[in-house]
Amino acid sequence: MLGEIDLLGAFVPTIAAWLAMALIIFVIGDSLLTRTDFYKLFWHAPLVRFALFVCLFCTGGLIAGIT
Amino acid sequence: MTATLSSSTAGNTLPQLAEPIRAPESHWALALTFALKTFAASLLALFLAFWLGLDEPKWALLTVYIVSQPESGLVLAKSFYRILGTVVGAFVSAAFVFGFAQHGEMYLALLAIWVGVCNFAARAARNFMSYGFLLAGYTVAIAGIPAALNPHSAYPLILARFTEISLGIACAALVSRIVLPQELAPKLRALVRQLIVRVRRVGAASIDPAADKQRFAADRMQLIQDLVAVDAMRASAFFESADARLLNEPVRRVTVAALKLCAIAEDAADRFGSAVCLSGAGRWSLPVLISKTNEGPRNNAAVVSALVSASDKRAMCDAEIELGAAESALEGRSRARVPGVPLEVWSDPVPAVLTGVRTALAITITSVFWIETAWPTGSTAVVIAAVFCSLIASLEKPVTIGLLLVITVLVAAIPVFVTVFYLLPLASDFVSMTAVLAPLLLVCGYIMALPRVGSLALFSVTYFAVVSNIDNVMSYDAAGFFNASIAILLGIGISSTMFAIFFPETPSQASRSFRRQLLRHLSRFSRSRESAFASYAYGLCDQLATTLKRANEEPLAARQCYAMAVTALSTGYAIHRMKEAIAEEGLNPRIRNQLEMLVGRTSKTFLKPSRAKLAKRAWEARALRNLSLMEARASSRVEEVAALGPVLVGCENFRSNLLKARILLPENSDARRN
Repeated sequence: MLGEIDLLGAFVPTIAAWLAMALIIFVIGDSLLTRTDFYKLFWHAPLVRFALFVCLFCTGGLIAGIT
Repeated sequence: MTATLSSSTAGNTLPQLAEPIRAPESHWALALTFALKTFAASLLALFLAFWLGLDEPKWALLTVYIVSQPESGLVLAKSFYRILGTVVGAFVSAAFVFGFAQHGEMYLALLAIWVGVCNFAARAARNFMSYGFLLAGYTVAIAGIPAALNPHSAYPLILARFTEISLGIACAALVSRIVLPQELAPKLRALVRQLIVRVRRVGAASIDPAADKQRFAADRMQLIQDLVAVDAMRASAFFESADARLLNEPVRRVTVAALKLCAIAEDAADRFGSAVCLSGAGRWSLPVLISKTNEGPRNNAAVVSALVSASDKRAMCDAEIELGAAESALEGRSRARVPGVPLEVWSDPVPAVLTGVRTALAITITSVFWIETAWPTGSTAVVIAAVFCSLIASLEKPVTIGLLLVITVLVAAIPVFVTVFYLLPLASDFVSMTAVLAPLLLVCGYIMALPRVGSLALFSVTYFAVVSNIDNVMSYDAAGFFNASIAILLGIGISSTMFAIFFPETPSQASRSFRRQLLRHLSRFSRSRESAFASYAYGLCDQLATTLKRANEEPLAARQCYAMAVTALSTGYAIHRMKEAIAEEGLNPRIRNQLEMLVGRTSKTFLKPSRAKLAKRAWEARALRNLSLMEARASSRVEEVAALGPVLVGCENFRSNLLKARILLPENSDARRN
């Protein structure tokens, strides 16, 4: 079970913090993959981007939940 | 490259596009797709809001419609700034509610000041950044007023509003990006290619005496608007994807090169065809040309004319080469990195302050009405006044828009009433509610995609969301509906009145303000040590495009603005050339010092300009030009003579532009007298 972060007295779920972190990691990774023309292998690049983000976010969330 | 340059300079053929621009789909198909996508996104947001048990799911639905745009890049850019604005607004709401909720008048006064300050900042910024400031302002009204009325549950209320808005943004961005995405990057690429073609045509026409003058004028007018449109689209495409971000630098390079070429064309256009001819001048280099002539008015004029003409052509070729290199980078043929040039926009504090004061006054008057009458729906009128003032603050013709919105409310009241009180009660689950909402929201979504009337449809959706109170457990209150409708009309009415009577913006005022800006920035540009000409030229084009939107009701004022802008662009380029001449190596220190003093004095002249002062500076430039020519004739060192060439050309350009700059004088600012 994920905990909560005390943000100025408000309890924010840790998953929200991980969402922000995952977004930053994804933007960096996405930029690298674009430069290597990785997305040209796919028909629907935005869908692949979204899928990769979901995978990254869920994997991180699961790992954080288990540990 | 050489072939491209020679052909385009000659004006015979235009460069071919590297790849054909995709034929646009039919407009109705695009509008229908947009309507379906937005409706799907709003349903997704609504479903998630119900599932999460949020307080007021209508905000999620409304946010989807507010951020939705036909192109995904625009949605993401708008969403980004909306999130930023909402976060700031949520924090300020919390601070105001916890600090002043017990003192209603103080709270409302602070709210009026805060929204006024945000609208002031929004007027100074551009594009979606301006939208972010607006959001930071009116979020305090939307989230803060209900929270202040119920301070015990203020924190969860502000948090809930933030969550609903974030949910709406996420759903709109997701659907816009994944389902039948309309990407901005290809449109940006196509627009930049059109810009390159147009700028080459303008460049070629400016040094071609046989060019069609009317077409040249129309082209350069369109060019200025295209430059601003390209940069705005580039800023939005940045948020779309990493592919689009790769375009950022090449597009910026094209813009800078196009600005330079545009300025050279403006500067050269007046001179071309009026040069004093000296036989064989074109064949000679500077030292030969100078050595072949003697001191005397006719010979001096001929030498200067030949030098300026040669310099114009060389500058044009250099700019064409720069544009070609930028085009290669855009098409991916070159990966050479060039340091980026920041492009700044100008902001006029006077209209921005007036906008802020108008907003604060409108909120104050509506608040006084609410407090005095103790009207239960008065808070809605205050919120609407804040939102309406914010949204129209940066638009032209705010009073007309206000009237249109009042008509929209009156027209939309019937379908909204039917949907809320006759159709929604028939819905027993989410699927049946979807069917009930579909007619109204799909029609509004379709109209939103149409140019000019789109914002009216968005306002209808906003009206529906405000009065419908969509929730897990629905409540139907006809009196509340009419009260809310009257509050909306009152909020819009008071705000429109403030914009109509409190120092309203007229075309002649916009023209005067533009003249003031030009003089201020010419002075600043002369004063600054580094020569950021591209930034100056971009700021000028952006300001012209903004001013023309406000001045287009009066063709004479619009024409006056355009003439002043062309003169300021050309004068700015002359100052840039003077700075380049000052930076020449091997220049006599005495001449360098005199050049610096002349540019410094000109900077002061632009702050307090007069016909006599401008003429005096022009005479000084002429004297310096003749002195340089005399020095060049007396010098035996080739390097020194070569360094004096740009000084000669710079002084001559400077002189002629200072004489033209009389159009910027206040006594010439009334368009009706010209």
